[in-house]
Amino acid sequence: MTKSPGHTIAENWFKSKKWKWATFQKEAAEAYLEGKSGLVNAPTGSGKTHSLWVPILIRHINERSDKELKAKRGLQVLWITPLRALSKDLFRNMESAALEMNLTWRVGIRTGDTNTKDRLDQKKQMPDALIITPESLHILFAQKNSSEIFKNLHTIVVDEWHELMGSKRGTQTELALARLRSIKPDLQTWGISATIGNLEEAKHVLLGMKFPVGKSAVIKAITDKKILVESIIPPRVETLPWSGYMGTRLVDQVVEIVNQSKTTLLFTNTRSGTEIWYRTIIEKYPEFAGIMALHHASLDREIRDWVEDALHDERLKLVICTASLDLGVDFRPVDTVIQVGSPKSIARFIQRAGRSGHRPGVDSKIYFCPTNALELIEAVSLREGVAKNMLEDRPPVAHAFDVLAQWMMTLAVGEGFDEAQLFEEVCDAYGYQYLNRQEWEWLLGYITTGSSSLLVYDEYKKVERVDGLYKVTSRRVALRHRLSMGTIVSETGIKVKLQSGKYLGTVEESFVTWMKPGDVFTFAGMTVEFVRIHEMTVSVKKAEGKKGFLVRWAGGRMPLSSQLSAFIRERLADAIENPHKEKELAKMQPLLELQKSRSMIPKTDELLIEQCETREGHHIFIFPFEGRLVHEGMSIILAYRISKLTPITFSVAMNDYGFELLSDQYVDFEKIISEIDVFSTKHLVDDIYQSVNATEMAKRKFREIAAISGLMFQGYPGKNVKTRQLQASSSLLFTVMSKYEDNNLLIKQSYQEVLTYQLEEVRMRQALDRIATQKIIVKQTRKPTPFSFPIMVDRLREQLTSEKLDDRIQKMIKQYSNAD
Amino acid sequence: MQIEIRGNHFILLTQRAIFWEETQTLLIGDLHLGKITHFRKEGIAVPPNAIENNFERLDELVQSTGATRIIFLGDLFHAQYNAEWELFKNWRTAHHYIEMLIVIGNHDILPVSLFLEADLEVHLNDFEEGDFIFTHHPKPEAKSDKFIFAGHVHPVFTTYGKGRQSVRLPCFVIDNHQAIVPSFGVFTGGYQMDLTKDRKIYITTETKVFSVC
Repeated sequence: MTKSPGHTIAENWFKSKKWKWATFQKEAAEAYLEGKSGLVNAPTGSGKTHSLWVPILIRHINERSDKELKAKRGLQVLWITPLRALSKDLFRNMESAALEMNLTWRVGIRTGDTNTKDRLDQKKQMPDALIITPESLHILFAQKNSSEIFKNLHTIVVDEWHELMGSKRGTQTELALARLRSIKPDLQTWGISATIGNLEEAKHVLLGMKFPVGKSAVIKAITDKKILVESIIPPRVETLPWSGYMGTRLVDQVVEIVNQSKTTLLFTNTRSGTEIWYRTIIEKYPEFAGIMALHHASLDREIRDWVEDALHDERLKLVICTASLDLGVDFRPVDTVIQVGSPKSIARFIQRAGRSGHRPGVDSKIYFCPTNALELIEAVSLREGVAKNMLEDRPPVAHAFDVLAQWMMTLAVGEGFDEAQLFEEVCDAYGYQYLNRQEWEWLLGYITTGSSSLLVYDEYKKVERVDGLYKVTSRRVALRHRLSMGTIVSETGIKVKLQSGKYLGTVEESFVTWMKPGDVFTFAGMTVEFVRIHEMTVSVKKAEGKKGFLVRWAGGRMPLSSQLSAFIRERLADAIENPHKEKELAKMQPLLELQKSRSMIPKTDELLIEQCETREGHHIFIFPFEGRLVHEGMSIILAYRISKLTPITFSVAMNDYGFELLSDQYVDFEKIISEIDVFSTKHLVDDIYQSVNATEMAKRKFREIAAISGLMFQGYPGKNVKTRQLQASSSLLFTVMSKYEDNNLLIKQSYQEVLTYQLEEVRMRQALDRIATQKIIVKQTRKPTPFSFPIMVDRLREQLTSEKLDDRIQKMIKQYSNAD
Repeated sequence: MQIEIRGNHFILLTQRAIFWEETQTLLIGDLHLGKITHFRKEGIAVPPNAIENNFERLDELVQSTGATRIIFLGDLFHAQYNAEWELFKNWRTAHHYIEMLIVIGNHDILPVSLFLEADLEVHLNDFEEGDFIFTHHPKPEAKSDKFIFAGHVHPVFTTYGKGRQSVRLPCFVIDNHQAIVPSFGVFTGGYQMDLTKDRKIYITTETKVFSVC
């Protein structure tokens, strides 16, 4: 390649910084300057930003000399980032590189935090490069001059694409990209992704259906960074509970590791977990006051910013965090990472490990702190997964009608759209490649007449057809849409404020409803007393020295990945056959002995089923060790198949190791499996559909769909009362819509999401096929076992019944009268 | 299910209403007519087919009980005037032989003249008759020795059974001084009630009313 002026400047710049222009960065530059699109696969801290930003600048320098192009100004580069918090750091990096190369390029930021003045300035004159979140990008499309804004755009970079892709925010990005490709056919699109199992697919999703493969590339950074995994093992296994808890019993060992390190990140899986750990450490080791901080998504932005800055400046020894610090700027001082509880996936574990040891030549080190005894098996499995570099796929979201309905509204609020053209555009997006005209017309009906028929006319008002374009003319409708855009749906947040005026963060409404003045709770690492609630804000005052409640947030539970599940099945067999192969397994012996004496430990060719009776009722536990996802589906299918034999009601629960069918009646399981094959793959699809219908799983999925598709109006900021007449719960909407409208696509989507994410047929078929080769062993136990106990205490349950409602009620209310 | 209050007989109906036998009166709470259209006018696509359901159930209720009078315990109409009011007026005309009263609820913001025009007897506050008071908002405690019938709350109750089962259903809540009826409207939500010492709860399925405890 001949050296262009831009190349020379870039090379000199790298030299002046005393940085090496890394091989993958050079490869990316070459591909970019050839006009290609694609994906850069590089970890955080490897110079991934410069791998694309530098060639963009080279292109700019080379084109600068071209007189014709000189007139073209305005927005040329969009840099999409999933996190607002990342934008500042990106800005610093990008702007300084441009300045140091003596370029007068303006870099701007557009996120939810951008103030009105900056927004107005951008409206007048867009910067040359804009760092933006997917949500803010959609908001640009809701402006009347959107095609004008993107007129000179030539490059889009999507940062942390692996993180966006698996979510509806990824779908949102896909839709915006499809539109931009249609406005600017020569657009170059690049993604930056950490390593995942399906990198090629990730590229395909990013570039859309019609993109010529020859014009794309995947550039991989070769890293020789090692990841060292070590488990924190209690002196005695009895120290660890059988289930739940937060691992705080290992606090002394954790603090010892922290003390030996410079700066440690401690990851927990839940926000409550961070609060518990913070409180535990500060109570036992008060010297940590001032050098330890908390970081999770419900803390006020200002507090989080402070923590991030302090991390940078090496002012903190320990930060306890959730996934909120998974992404983002690399904190150079961090040299140790501790993961509390199962990370559920090898890829996530590796990503977290990568938060430490950013210095060249330094390995990443991660400690795994188990929260219950069975997680010791996971420790071994994680180490193996990391060694073999077994990374999970991030499956992209498909057929999200809710996101599409929102997008159509967004464009209608903006410049309006031609439906035939938009249909074609949308079909170019990977997630909508199978969208058909019938579905499309339903969506058009949904936003224009509010029904599946385009002919219904009543007072429904949303989108109108004006001169062949679908447009929103009502300012009120437009305003309401702008306020409710986005795909992140959370429970109504109640702000928590100190009486002095400082905001601490948000808690959920459900937590506040049962608080009364004087109640004490721990939040943001502080002990505070509830004073009063007024207009969605809780006022609190400090209450040091008192012990209080812990704030709980609702949150999904991550399922164990199938890769990790497979390792666990093998390691469990090892635990019996080679107990001394791994130190963790040796530690587990007393627990396994107990399991053996109360029941048994299944070999890989055996399926263990335990039955026992407690005051709660009759329990059946089944242990396929297939991970939560498979168990979720298998449990309701089994419940459904058994309930077809006799009128019975089951409530089911599951974890990553097995599941439970609980009933008020005894089921002779041995007799049933001798008569029918409950694990059969025959009629599987049919039975999946029937069993989903019999549960409320779809209704729960509908909550998010209703919010994204614009059925739930959250209210105007600061005007909570006025919108009360427009409030309906998503479950009420679900009931009315399923009952009174055939083929409602949004209802269909909620079933589809259950089938795709919770009861995926292929995975379930594989698991059932495996079970078909196993010997089924049914054990009647007198007491719950180490395996069954963690499932038994789970309160999150699905119900499935074949009894008449009246009969069930009759039985239930009998107990009330007995109780009196 | 029949219960006796102050020597009068009331039937708790699975249709989520109460029939007062002595006066052949139906007590109906929280219809929230117009709510679906109100949502639709604001661009929220609730299926219009559901609107009919309220009137079908009213028809069925009137026929099966042979009521000569209906007392609407407030929140008859959800919001500002919309086309659903005309549907109600048609229904009213078809049942012109039935006497109808409304005690105004917090959602009933239509001009009183519209109610009057539809041949409803309007009571801005409570309506009293004999030993009974009919009102929209439940009263925290008895004011006189009169018994109160109220709506507003949309009560539902969750029963729990062995094997961690639970079922959530609309309910009637009855204590010493007051009865709260479940909401009648098809597009109305529910508010969870607790069982307390001096309160009786009657849950209803579509086929049967059950007394809890």
